[in-house]
Parts: sequence; C-alpha cells; structure tokens
Amino acid sequence: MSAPPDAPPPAPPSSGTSAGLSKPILDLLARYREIITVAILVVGCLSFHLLTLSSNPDNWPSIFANPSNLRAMLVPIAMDVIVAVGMLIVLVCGGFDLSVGSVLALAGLATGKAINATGSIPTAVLAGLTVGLVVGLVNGVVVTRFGVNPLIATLGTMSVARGLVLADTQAHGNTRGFPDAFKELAWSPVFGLDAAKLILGALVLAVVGDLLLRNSRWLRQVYYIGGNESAARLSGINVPVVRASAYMICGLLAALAGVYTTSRYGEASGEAGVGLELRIIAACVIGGASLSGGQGTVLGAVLGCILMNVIANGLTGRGVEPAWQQVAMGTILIAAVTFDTALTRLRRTR
Amino acid sequence: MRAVLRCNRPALAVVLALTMVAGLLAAGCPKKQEVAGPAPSVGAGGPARTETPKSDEEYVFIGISTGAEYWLAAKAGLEDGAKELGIRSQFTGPTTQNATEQAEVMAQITAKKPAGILIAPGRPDTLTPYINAAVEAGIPVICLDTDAPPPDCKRIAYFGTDNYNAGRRGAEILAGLIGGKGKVAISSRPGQWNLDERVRGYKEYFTEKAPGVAVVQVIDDKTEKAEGEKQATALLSRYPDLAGFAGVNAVSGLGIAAALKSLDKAGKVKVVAMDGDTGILDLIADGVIDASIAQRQYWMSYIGIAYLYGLNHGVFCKPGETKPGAEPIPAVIDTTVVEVNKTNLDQFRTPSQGAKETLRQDFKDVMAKAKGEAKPEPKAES
Repeated sequence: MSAPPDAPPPAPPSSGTSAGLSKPILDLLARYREIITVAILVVGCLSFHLLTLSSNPDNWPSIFANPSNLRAMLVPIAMDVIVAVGMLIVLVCGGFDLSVGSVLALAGLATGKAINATGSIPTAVLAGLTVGLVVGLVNGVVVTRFGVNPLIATLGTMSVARGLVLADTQAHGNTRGFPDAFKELAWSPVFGLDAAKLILGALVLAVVGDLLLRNSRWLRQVYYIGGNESAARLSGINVPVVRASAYMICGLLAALAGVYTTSRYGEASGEAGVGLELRIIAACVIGGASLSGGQGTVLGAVLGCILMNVIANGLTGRGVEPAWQQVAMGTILIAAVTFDTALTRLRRTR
Repeated sequence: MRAVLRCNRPALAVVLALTMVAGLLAAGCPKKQEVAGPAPSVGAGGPARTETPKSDEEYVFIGISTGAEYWLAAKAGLEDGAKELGIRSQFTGPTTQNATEQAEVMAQITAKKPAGILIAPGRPDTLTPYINAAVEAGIPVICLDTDAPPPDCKRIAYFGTDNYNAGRRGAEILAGLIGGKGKVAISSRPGQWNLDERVRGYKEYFTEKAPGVAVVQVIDDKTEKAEGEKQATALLSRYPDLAGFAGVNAVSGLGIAAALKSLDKAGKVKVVAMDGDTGILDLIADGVIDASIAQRQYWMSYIGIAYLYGLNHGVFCKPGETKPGAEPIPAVIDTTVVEVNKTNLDQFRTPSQGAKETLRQDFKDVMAKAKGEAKPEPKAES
C-alpha cells in the first residue's frame, strides 16, 4: 500500500528514541488493529460492570452484566452490524455511503407496501431488497461512471430516498397494519430468544464477511482499489465493477435491516434510520477503517458497533443523560482516529 | 524534544482513549446508593426533605425527542416527585423522534428491572410489545403525554393532555380575543394524530359556541418555524382581513409570529399558540402572541411517579382492581391545559415554578397519599 495522502513529507531521523513502544509491538498493533478496540471494549465493559454491581437478584451480578441487559443489547448491535458490514466494504474501497439510513427507510416502506398489497412475505422481502440493490447500483454508477465524489453522490441518493419515504408517509401516514405472519418474521423466538434470527443472521454475516474479505480473491480487490486505485487498474482489476458492487452490497444489507425493522416494529415510518449513516461510519472508523480507503476489517467494524452500543447502554444504565451520551460518543470517535493517525505516523518514523 | 513527543504519541493516544472512557464512566456516576431494604423511613412529622434517596427503588421516565424544551418541565416534575418520595429517578430516551431507538432503550431499561417505568411512546404500535414485555417482567408501566392504548397494550394507565379538549380551550380564548366573529386560520402538521385532534377541537368549538368565527384554512408548518413562517405569510396575503391565528404545535406560534412581524401585522391579528417554550413566552411579552395553551407535563410525571410508588407500596392498585385499603389508579387522566398570557407569564419562566403556580390540588393529594405509605408500616408495628 502506498503512503496515505496525509503523509508528512520527510521522516525525521529519530529511530531508536525511547518511546516505550517497540517496533514489533507497533507492527502488531498495525496489523491487528482490532487489539486496541478489544482493549477499550474490555476496559469499558469491566468499568460498567464494576460501577453497577448489584446484590439485587433481579440484576445480579450487575446492572450492566446481567443476562437480560446483555440480551437487550444484542438487537441494536445486530442491526448495526448488518449495515456496518456493507459500509465497511465501501469504506475499504475508498468510498463512502451516506444513503444507508434512507435506504433502510425506503426498503422498509417498500416491504410494508408490498405485504399490505400482496400478503405474500417472499414478495415483500424481495421488494425491500430490490430497493436496496437499485439504490446501491445508482450510487455505484454515479460514482464510477459519472465520476461524482462518493460523498456528494450518496448525499444525493440519501436525500432522494428519504424524500420518497416522506412523500408517502406525509400523504398516507405511516404504513402499518401488517398481517401477524409478517410480524412473526422478526418476533418468532428461536432458542427462546425473540430476536434470534436477527442475531444469528448478523453473526453469520460478520463471520462470512470477515473471512471473504480476508481470503476471497474477488473481495480482496477492494483493498487494492482503496489503497491505490491507479495501481489496481494497471494490474488488471476492473475497478468500476468492483466498486459498484461494493455499493450494491452496502445497499442490499441496509435494505435487509430495513425489512427487519418494518417487521419488528410493525410500522414503516418516515424517521426510520435517521442518523444511521454517521453512526455506522463512526463504528467502522473506531474499528480501524480509514476514510481514505484501503484499511479496515469486518471484525474491526463489528467490534466498533459493539463498543458504541456498550457505551450507549452503559451510560444509560448509569443514568447519564442522552445529550451527554452524544458528547461521549464524539469524544471516543476522535480518540480512536487520533490513535490511528499517531500509529501510522510513528510506524513511518521507525 | 519534538521527536520524543512524536514517539510518545501512540502511547499518549492509548492513555487518552482509556482515560476518556474512564472519565466518562466516572462522570456518569450518580450518588452512592445505599443498600437498603424496601422500607424507607420517613419521620412522621413531615415530608421527606432529605437530598439523598431513602430507598433503593428507581423509577425511570423514557421520553422521546428528549432534546426538546417541552420535556424540561416533565423532567422537573419527575425529579421533584422522586425527591418528595425519597426515591431515585432517571430521565432518558432518544434525543430525536426515533421510536425504534426508544424501543431499544425501553428494552434496556426493562432489563435493569426498575421499580416502575413512565414512558411517552414515540409511536404506540412500535412501543406496545416493549411495554408489554416490561409489564410481563413485573414492572408497572404508565404512559405519559401519548398513550399506547389497550387492549393491545398492557400499560396500567395513561396521563396526558386530552388534545381535543385542549383545542376547544384554545378556540374559546381565540374567539374571546376577536370578539366572537371573523376569519381565523390554524397552523398545524396535518396527519399527526394529536395535532389533528386539537384542530378538531378548535373547529367544533367554533361551530357550536362561536358560529361567527370561520376557519378559512389549516396550513402545514411541518413542525418547523421557517416553513410555518412561509406558509403563514402566504396565507396572510391571501386573507388580509384575517382576525385570528391559532398554532397547535410547540413551534407553530413562532412561525406565525415571524410572519406577522415581517408583514407589520403584529398585534393586529390575534394569536393563540401552544405550549410554554421560552420562545413563545418571549413573544407573549412582546405582545405578538396573545395567549398560549400550556400543557401540564410537569404534573404528568409528578403524579406518574407518585402513582407508581403508591402501587408498589399498597396505597394504590391497578385500575378496576379491588384491594383492601388501596385506591384504584384512574385508567386515564386528562391533565388539562392552562392559559398563559401577559398576566401570568412570569410563572412559566422556570418549569417547576410554572407548575407550582398552576397547581392542581387533586394532583398534590395523589402525592400526599403515596407518601402516606412511606411511613414505617404503622399496622405492622402497632
């Protein structure tokens, strides 16, 4: 991988200065960036656990670590993971997708409309997923064929998709009144856990996504493109196709989350997924992805999602007000990026 | 020196990140909780005045759009009620109008097993399964401000503004201001159920009690000041002889006032707004808005926590139940509205102060009754 664009020109001849962090450790951290996310996660979980210790049998052993709270955290984590896997692929590819929240809402709406019109669950799910694929395709084509900056392109589709959703909800109200069979899709328990399908689905997606991104020849191309696009093109990678398909995967997964949201919450609403895009991008970045591309793993993104939800949960459990939780999230995001930048710089000086 | 600093940067960053996490945890650390039995002891002489909670019990209010000024008063009511009862309270919920996020907060709070939950459901359909899960886990739940109605929802009770009645009250004030006749317009967000009810209240009052008043149009302000101003300006030029303007959501009045000021019609068109946010109060002081219909969100949470506490301590029982020595909680309470105008404006400047001045004795009685049980079990001792 070539030097990122923000590289400082000359490396000062400072190798060997006492730093407390030796080169092998630095290399290890750079190679397995997830270590640091895991470390923060462990510290965070332990702190929340110790701060909320409880002798009350309802909350034993602590308000944070009792089984029902851990269970309550799984649903939001799993939802974020599904979207984050797609987002990560786009980020690694050097792209950016702001439209995921709107795609979630639009796909959810399409699913709701389809189930009410046809009564057929497969048709409804297919309708939702198709919406995601189409928006992803539009994103991909606008970025690769028309050469529009991904930020602008997906800002556009974000606005268009949200506008379409709002046009409908403002004219007809939220789409609801689904048959029970459709709600059962999200609610029917497996192993006594009502959201088991979602959680298992997210888990499978994370494992498969991580393995494929590390090992499959086709998906590894996204790293080359994100690292150095012209080199990737010269080495024979079909950059536009790979890049467009990254956006399509991202759209498809956001739509999947939308289908599930509509089923679980019994309603397709105008505000579904508002602000989701930034939360997911933040989770990926906390997990080690870089906005300049070429870096990041699915495992890191998953850890980022878990970390953000653990902090939100822990702070709520401690009675920290929602506004201060946002302050906390922003601080952690900046700390994570500061760390990455410092690590990159330091490794170059050694 | 620079080189040293640079070399230490990653170490610094790690320390920084961990310190931040630790700091935030510490920041969110409420007062030490005493591991106490469920029997709080309060001197028979007076109410619980102490700052530190007497009981381990915690009651949680889960709001929606918690960044909105409207909730400040509800939060004050919750905290004041908790202080009087000597218990702990928590106010939480998404800062945006995001009901799915609220649902997951509800799931998390349920897992925490608090002594009771108050919730203002962002979307009743979405929250109903979560409310039911809490009730099934043995946590009493009361809906405030917005209802998730039975039979689907198993909430114990609902306390909030009857929006239809609030609309009628606004219509009564507006009709009085314009002398019972003339053209009026309403600024609302059509399609939002609670606002539609207020508009219906306005229209039906005029039809029944003030037939000389004609509603010429209901504009859509999209709950946004700028959009409201645009729509109101257009309407005011279409109806130059408009006598009155009513706004039925918390920002409608701001849009109407901006339009009136820019058209130099402030004071000429009578305005009745909704809620007691600072912006509205300032415009009442300026004479641009004549009156506003303030809701009693302070009392919603104040009686909410009192009823939940009383329910857990045998003073109250669920609606429709009979239990010796316990009074059933009303299934629905219309907390009613209060008119804010130049004469009583200052009372609304701080949430709890405004609430004190608009005191409803029956609500005070609820708290007194709930507190009565807080004395150390008189029957058991004698």
